[in-house]
Amino acid sequence: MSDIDGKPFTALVSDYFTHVDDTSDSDEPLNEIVKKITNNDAKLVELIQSLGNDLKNEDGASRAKALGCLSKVLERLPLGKLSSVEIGHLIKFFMTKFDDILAFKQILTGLNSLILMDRFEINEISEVIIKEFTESYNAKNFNAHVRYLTFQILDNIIRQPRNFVAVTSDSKLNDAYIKSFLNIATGEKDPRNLMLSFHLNEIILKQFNNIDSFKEDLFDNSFCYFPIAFKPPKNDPYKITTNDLKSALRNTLTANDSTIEDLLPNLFEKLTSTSMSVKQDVLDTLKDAIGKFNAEVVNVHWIEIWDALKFEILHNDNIPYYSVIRKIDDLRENKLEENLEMLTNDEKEKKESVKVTSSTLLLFKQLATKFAEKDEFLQLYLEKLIEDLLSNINDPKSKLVKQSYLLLSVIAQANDYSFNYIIKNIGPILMKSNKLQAANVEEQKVIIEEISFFLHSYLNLYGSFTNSANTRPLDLETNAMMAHKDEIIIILSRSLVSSSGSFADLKIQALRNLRLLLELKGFLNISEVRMILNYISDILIEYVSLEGNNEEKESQFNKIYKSCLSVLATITEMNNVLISGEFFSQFLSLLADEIVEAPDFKNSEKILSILSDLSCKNSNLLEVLSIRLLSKLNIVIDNCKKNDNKAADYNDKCLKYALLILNVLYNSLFKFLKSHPDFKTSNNFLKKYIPLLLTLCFSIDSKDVFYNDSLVELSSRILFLIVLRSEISMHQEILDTFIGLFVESKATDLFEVIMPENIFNYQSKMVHLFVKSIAGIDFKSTTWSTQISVNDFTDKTIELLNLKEGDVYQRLGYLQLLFMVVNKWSGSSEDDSTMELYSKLTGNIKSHITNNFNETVNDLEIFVWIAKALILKNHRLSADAAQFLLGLIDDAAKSPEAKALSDKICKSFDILVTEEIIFKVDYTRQVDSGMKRKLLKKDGVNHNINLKPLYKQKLFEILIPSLISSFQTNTKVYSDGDDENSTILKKAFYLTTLSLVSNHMSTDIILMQLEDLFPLLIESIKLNSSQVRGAALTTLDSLITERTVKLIGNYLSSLIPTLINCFKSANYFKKDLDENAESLKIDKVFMKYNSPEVREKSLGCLLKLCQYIDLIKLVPFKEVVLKNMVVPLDDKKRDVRKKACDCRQDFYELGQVKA
Amino acid sequence: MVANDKIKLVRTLRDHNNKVWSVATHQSLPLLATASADKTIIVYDLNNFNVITKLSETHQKSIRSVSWKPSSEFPCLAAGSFDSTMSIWAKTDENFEEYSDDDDIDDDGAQEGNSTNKQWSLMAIIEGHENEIKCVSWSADGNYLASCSRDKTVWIWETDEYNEEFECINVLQDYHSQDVKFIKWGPDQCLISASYDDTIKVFKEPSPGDDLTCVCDLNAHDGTVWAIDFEPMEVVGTKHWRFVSCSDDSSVKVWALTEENRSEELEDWQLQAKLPIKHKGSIYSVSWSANSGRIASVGSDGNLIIYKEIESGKWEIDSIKPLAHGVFDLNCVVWIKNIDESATTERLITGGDNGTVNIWEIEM
Amino acid sequence: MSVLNANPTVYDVSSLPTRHQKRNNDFMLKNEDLSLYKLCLNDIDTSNDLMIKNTQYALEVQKKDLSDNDTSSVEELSSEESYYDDDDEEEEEIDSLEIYDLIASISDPEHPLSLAALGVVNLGDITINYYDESKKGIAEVVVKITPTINHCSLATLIGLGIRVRLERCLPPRFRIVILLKEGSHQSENQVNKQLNDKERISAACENGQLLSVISTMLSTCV
Repeated sequence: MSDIDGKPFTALVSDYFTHVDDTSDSDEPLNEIVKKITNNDAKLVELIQSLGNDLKNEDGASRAKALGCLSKVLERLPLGKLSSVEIGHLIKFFMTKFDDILAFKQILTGLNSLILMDRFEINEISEVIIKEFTESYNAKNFNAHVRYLTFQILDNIIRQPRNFVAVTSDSKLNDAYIKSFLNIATGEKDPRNLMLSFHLNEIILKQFNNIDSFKEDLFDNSFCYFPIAFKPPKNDPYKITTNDLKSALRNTLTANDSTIEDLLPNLFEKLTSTSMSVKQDVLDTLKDAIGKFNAEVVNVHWIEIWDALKFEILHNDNIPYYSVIRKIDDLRENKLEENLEMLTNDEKEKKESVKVTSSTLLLFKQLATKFAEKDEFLQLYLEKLIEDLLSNINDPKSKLVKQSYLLLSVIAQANDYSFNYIIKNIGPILMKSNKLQAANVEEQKVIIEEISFFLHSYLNLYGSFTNSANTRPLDLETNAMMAHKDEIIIILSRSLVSSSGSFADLKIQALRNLRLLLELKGFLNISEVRMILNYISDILIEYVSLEGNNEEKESQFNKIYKSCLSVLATITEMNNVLISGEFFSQFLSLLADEIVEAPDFKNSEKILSILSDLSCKNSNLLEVLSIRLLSKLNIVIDNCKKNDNKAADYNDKCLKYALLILNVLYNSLFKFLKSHPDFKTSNNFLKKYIPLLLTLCFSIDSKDVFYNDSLVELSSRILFLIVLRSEISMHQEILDTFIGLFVESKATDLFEVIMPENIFNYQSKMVHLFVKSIAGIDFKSTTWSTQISVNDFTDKTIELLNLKEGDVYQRLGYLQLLFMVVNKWSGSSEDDSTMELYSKLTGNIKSHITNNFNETVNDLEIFVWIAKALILKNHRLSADAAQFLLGLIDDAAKSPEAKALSDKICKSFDILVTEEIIFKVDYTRQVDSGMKRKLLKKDGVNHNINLKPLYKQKLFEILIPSLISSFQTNTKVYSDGDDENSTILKKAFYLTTLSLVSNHMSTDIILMQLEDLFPLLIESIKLNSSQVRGAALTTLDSLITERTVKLIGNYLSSLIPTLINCFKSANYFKKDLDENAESLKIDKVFMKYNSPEVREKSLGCLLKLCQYIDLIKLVPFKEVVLKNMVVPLDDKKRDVRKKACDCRQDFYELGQVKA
Repeated sequence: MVANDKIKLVRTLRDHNNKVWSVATHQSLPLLATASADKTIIVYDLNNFNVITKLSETHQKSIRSVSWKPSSEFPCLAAGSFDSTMSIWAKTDENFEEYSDDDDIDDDGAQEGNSTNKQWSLMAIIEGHENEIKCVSWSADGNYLASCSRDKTVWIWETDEYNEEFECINVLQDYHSQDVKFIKWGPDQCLISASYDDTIKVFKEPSPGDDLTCVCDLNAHDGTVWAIDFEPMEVVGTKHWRFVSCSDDSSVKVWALTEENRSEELEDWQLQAKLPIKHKGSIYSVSWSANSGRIASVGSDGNLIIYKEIESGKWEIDSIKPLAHGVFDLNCVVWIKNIDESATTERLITGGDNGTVNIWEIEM
Repeated sequence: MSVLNANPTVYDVSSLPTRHQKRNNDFMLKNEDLSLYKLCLNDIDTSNDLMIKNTQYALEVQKKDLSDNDTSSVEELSSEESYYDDDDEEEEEIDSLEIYDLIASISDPEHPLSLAALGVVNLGDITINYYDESKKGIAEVVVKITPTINHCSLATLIGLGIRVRLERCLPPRFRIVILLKEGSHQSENQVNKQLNDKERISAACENGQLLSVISTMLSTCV
């Protein structure tokens, strides 16, 4: 097993030597060697013998290789392998080679591995290592890596506790260790080495003996690096950050409080630097020092700290007080640091200076907390503060008053004792000195700001009623602030109520501090809260009862309105009954119960907006308001019915007032639900609110003025929102209740309400209530009622629709009812019935189309809503329905009323793709990181319509190609039998449908078909119909983007003249002021269809062309556009003129070089 | 009193696509030249208003003024431009006879492409002025060409009959303290200049061949004097000269000089009449009709106003044409000399900011 | 002579008058929320409902118009009776606020601020005088500017900038007169004269270097 010359290692060693350079190959022989030694197949000493001659070789390189091999083997040996004797021998062996500079790195690696071994111990052999480092080692002539090894060796020597004790207990060794540390550490620059150096320095200062004699050297060795200005290199393998170095240095400097005499003066001297980061380092070091050093030591020196730092605050006359206080709150809750790189330089500047100021203030607070254990120290400290600062506060002319108050307020946050002591001493002056009557606005502002400092102290110390985490329990009797409570309230309320109208910012400040007052835990009692509430109500009442349009006062109130609301919001959080009870009653009583001669809706609007703004943030306020306002609405309606005042517009005014209230109900509910996505409507809403609303609606007779589309629509939408957001588990019961109510008109236990007529035997607008309620129901978890099947229901509804009764809104109700039931509950099981219904309807249309216009329109309308229901859920028949509609134009063209029919078919497409408010699913277009655009359903608000997200895409993929191809076939050859007129009719139909439909398309879909769509779009702009031209222009506008610029570029010669024609209004030429007019080649017929929207949109498109199309393509048109632009510049409509100005300016600037 | 339907629009020429600054008719030939901000000059046949030629690609900036050389052989004109240079154009083709007055050119008229266009050629480019040239004017005998500019100077150039050599023989400096707006040669070699400094100055050769010296300095208006025009000589005949001036101060004034207060060194022009004030804002151009002795004025208010002298030195408004160029300013007006004594009507030409040239007709 | 605007007080732009932001009052239900009527096939007679202004929705296909209309045949098909008649469009007159909005956001050649923010142009110093009561014909817009420093070159440049902006944005029937506020400039009359000499202004507008300075001044127009 042994080698040829009997020695176990010769082969392995030579194998190692050949591959010594590339580490991967040299591992293999090394591991072999280690394995042999660990399994005791061979002894370490044999390895040394086989390395023998190389070790002594004069050539340094081979010596280094041999030693390298040895040290690497030692490194890989199990720590417990070698005995202490063996370790000793090897140490001696290495130490004899200590001065071999060329192999020094290998020697250190070897020594280090030996020291790490379990049985390494401090003895006279290992002592030599420590001593060596004091004399012969000179850090300068070694690279960073070698120097790092020296630190490692010193660190590892005392790693094991017994060795640590051995070194520190022997005074000679203890001093030698320190000296050798000082020797290897001086002048170190490498960050990695410094980290270890600071660490060792700290250990020495903390745990070694006889520190005093080395104090200065140890201090100089660390403080010379202060402050750290280190920029980490990009690809730093060791990932050392500036903060790591800073905190390591800080720990060293504050390791031993005996160094305080050197530390403080040096730190204060650094304070003079202008750089904020240096100042911050000083403050952080002081913070650590005060934290770690014990109180006695700090007590001796705090006076130096106070004298050195107090002027940082006192002499700083542009302290941003508000942000400093907020920063102190943040630091207290140790909110994570805002990263400063993002900010501009001066923003960074400001942020850093705020941090320095607040850290300084917190230092003084820390001193107070430090002395809290030793009362006499604290007492001394506080007395000195009061003595120094009182002179400033008392002297009215002094410019340091505010800074002094700030200082005191932060120190007061330390503990109860400081808080009370300070407040007792300065409270009277803070309050008394304010001879409030005389104080002008500016003085009042300063007084309030100073008081707010101490409110913040209270808040920091005792916490607010919402969160009082990590704060002290409050002892009411002894609290010094309590004594001044009344004075504070008076000061704040007086400046609030002072000459109303002007000084808005004073009032805002007062309001902000009243809110702060309210937040203080346990400070105000309920009667004081009510008093503040009354102040606010008085202001709002004055605002609400303003007569006439007093512009100036109005704007003043607008400024303070938000602050009043925030105070009310805080009171609501404290005790919402106060608001929902007294406050609501007070304001609801202001709302008139009936319409008086000249009702001023402006004031009622203000009242309602106050109530709505408050309750759309808090659910129980919302509930209370909804119910109380609904009963108010009931009263208003009854009063209107009773009052037989026959003034012509009396009823209309009542209606407007009723709609105003209903609007508030709808808006508050909508805003609340929007901001609380997962709120579930409570029983109150279902059990109390809905019945009240339904009773109100059913009590309206169809002849009343209140039998009005908006009123019904608003009520239905309220029902929709409530049902949508009710617990899913309740949906089946709600569905059955509504079917019971509206179809079988029987009372239900859910709501005690009787529906006088059911929607089938007596058609009424109230059908919308039913439609919108069931719209909110989750169709997946509910089944249609058992009493009447879906088919019977749809047949009955169709029967009603065939009667063609009632006005537009009512008919729409029944159509949407049809849609709702077919879309949600005509499940797949009854598929054939839908097929049957579908073919029946298409049959009717086909039969009537050429002979009975009215019948056709009625059938078509019913068919469209059914088709819409199917298409939305991607039903099998969707594609067929779309093709059927398209095909109708051929029959329509033959009928006498061809034009009117083609109108209807175009409009039916529009109905097909329009998404109504109730079933609009808010798709938020989410641009994810991969820049792919994904359709994401908005979380939280899902509307329970059976609507597949990509239904529109599928529909358009059917419609667009067939529209384009049918248009193209029609332009070339007249199909037989069609006379010239019907072909034109069809072309107009295709173009109209195309632009209407593309108006609803997302641009991605259009882009796919842009090639053949674009020329048609230009054609449809030329169509003489303002609606179609408008729709086509809107689509065009959305199409002009970077992606389409190349294609659009080659259509300019036909597009720009068309756009020019679109922005002219006939009105300009009526004035015939421009003798040049004829030359503008105006097309009188074309211009008649240029509605203001068309004119504005065409200018918008031109603007976009300017933005996207490249210069060389646009410049040829510059002349003609500028000349014609004279027309819209004189347009009747201001918006058109504005767009014309922007457009003309851009065209003038085409190719213009900027200075 | 003021019948404004007397002035009838006969024709509108729309060949420029920017402001028309100046129009000029040839003293003897039926030629009209129009200069515009579109940096081109267009020459028309005065009988049928067909475009004879379009002179372009020479000036970098607007052409402010154009003036025909009075000599009757080859038509030659000078143009002054904001690019501080003047260009001289002439029709050099010998077979000029084709263009006797009564020649009936086939009715598709002389479009640009027409063969005659090639004969018009650039004879010379004259540099000298520091900045924008405001006006150019040929002396009655065609030997001298005067030009004025914003650099406050008037330059006098002498030329040969081939219009190739132009030599500056005199520079009238330090007379005007500001931008010289207009110059015009009057009868017997006298030169009148109007300026931004509100003054009119008259220059004369003390004796033939001498340099021009200032013989009269009139503080004529309280605003920039934009233009002047002499009363055509043949009508007067007596030793009595008159010219009319118009200005920013919305006034039109007639100045007269009689034999007795005229000497070698001094001409004491007197204000003879101040025409009735009707214009609002600046008046940019005036013209004195040789046929009817009436004066026409145009300005920024868009009005074309014609005044007639009811008795010597007393004028009243003959007629007004409001919005002659729509809402745009009118920049220039010139009467067309009508050689047919028996004519009952006379014509005048206006140019405006909307880039069109209008030809009007009014009874005598 | 005290110069009004030597060291310019900078006005808080948000408090300056403008028509730009449209006041929206989402209190009342907006019309398009209630435009359900679009969804009904048969023609709607305008219901007397107070709140809802319905939009007349019918496809207009016009009969063939005999006038020599060179556009292709499809256009002739729009119906006669329902074209958009702009006579009943209510006229929104051009007023001083509109002029102010046009020039307020021009940037001063020296300070990186708008003319409005520097108080160079103020709403009160803009007047429109119509020559005829129909307010349709020629009209005069007089803008009085308060230059920041009183030496003349800057005042003329600002005047030229304003004139170019107005000439580009106002119909040609408006005559633009730009004057210096009384007492705001020591050579007030000369500057006024230069600012309103039409010919010198046209010449200035052909000077490339000047045009690029003006184009920078106008680039901040909103």
